[in-house]
Amino acid sequence: MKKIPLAIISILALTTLVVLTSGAWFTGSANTESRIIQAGTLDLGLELKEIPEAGGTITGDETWIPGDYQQIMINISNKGSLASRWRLGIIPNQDYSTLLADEMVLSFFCQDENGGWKLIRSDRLSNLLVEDETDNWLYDEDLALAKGIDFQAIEPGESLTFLMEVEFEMTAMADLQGEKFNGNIVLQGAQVNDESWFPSAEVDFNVNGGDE
Amino acid sequence: MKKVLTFLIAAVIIVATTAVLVPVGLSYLSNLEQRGISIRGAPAEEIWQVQGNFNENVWKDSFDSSIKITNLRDRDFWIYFEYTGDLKQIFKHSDPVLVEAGKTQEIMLYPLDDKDSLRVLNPLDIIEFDKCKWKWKIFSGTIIIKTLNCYAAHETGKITISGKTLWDVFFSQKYGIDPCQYYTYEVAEKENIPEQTRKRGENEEDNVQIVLENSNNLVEEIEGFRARTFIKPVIQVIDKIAPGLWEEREYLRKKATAASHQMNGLKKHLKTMIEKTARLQEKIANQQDLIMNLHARINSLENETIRLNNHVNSLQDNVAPKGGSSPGPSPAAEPEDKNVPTGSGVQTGAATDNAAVSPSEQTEDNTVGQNSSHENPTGDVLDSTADQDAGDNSQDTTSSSQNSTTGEASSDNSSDQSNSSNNNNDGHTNSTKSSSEDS
Repeated sequence: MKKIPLAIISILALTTLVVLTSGAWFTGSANTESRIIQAGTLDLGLELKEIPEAGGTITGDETWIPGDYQQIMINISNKGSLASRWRLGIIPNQDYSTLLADEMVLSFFCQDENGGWKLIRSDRLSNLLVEDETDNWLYDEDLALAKGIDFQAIEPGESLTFLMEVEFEMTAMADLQGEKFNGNIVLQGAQVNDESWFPSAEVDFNVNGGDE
Repeated sequence: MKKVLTFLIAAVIIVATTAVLVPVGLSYLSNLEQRGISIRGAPAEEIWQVQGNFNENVWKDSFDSSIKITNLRDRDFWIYFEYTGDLKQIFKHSDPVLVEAGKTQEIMLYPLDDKDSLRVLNPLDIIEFDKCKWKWKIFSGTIIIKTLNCYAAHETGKITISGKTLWDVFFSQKYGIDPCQYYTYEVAEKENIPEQTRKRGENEEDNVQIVLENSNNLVEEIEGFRARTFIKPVIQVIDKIAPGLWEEREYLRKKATAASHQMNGLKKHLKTMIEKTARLQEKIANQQDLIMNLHARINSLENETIRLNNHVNSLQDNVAPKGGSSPGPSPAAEPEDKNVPTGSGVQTGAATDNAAVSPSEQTEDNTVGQNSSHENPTGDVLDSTADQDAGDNSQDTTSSSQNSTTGEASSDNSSDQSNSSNNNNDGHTNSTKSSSEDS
């Protein structure tokens, strides 16, 4: 009988060791990073989902031509134990094509009281980039304040839904072919009443102007 | 021991399963969440498919370019065209053409309309250079087909259209003119191009070479060519393109032609007048000579009269001492007596008596006569010129008096004439002959 507890302890120890060694449980999911603040955690989740039924000309992996657009549902959820402020932006990789960024238009909508979509901002991708010298977030508290929108911190277990429309402008010309834009849609979170921002999640945002 | 062994095996299996499955599962979940947005622009071959090549003969009949475009997308798009080279002068700038999703569209290329035709076929050019220039000219260029704001573009290969085809399209079809008769017959003969070359000219690819071969001669032939049968359809075309232009040109041409004829008539008239003036001047000169001669003759006659009077007086003086005193003849009767003597006796006497006359008297008489002859030309030339008939009559009188005068008198007259002619104007030697001719 003395061996049974020993075996159980050994199994738990090995399992713990394997999980920690692989690192999959805490850091492998969408680059999320949990921070323990005071007596809880900040954990925001970012999920993008295509909604072709809402409009758009592109489905799946179809190639784009000028004039095509796609609507994407953005779901931000709080998986932590603390209420969290948030901001959403696009951070480009180096050496992206400004020509291509000028021909992509992003429109960001939030839900209104009636369940419809209210436009928050619409601009060219080149004006919606978070870079070293610029801080153009797709959505943050300052923008909400400027637009007169009541910014909502996300309570634990709750989620917010936004709509983003990506359009390949009709003005796009043949010289875009071969141009590329690579970056990430980044979600950052912060504790209420705290100025420190922490990366919470990010997804790829890649545009290829077409084959030369 | 067996239990320990079983425990170890179970532990290994659990560890292996955990180590393999957990990362795989988590990676799958991670990929789902990191899928993100990926946009890839469509290359041209995924947008449309361009088929066919431009066919000149087909286009001539139906304006169908023989080019077909298939829309490979699931939404419609518009295509539009850009022309390069000479084709800008041929094809009408067409409106965009809609190509529906998944369908194929034939491309029609219409030639320039009436208004635009002036760009390629200026009526004045037609008039001046006519169709010779057109037949051998090759219009070439490319067509660039674009869509989606030039996101996708397709440039055709080199397209050539012969001037003959253009002529057919622009005139035969557009204006209902059949250029075949005058075009092939008239021009071919005028251009004097070998038959083999003309046959080769039917092939578009050879046209450029033919143009090079015939360029030197063709320029001269074009410049010297005056189309006859060509002008009729040209007038029709010009009336449609620019009403009134041809009529105005014809009106001006007629005016110019009439003015030219009038100018030629005036030139001829002027030439005739100049010739007449020359002849009149010559006649005037002759009349002047005649007048000179007449004056000289009158002077000589006066001298002769004086000399005869002197002779009569001397005879009377000789008779009076021999025959007693007798009243002498009155001076008034001397001229009548002068005409009375006849025969050679008087002349003989005159010859002898003439020598008896003192040189001072002769000189004095001649001087008088010469002075009168000097005075007369200035005053009488105008009279004789003004009244030519009078001159002619006096000339007749002179000639009759010359005929009645004989011997020494005529010799004196001739000497006097020569003197007077020498003292007066030039060319009197000739004028004497001409005066006799005139008379």
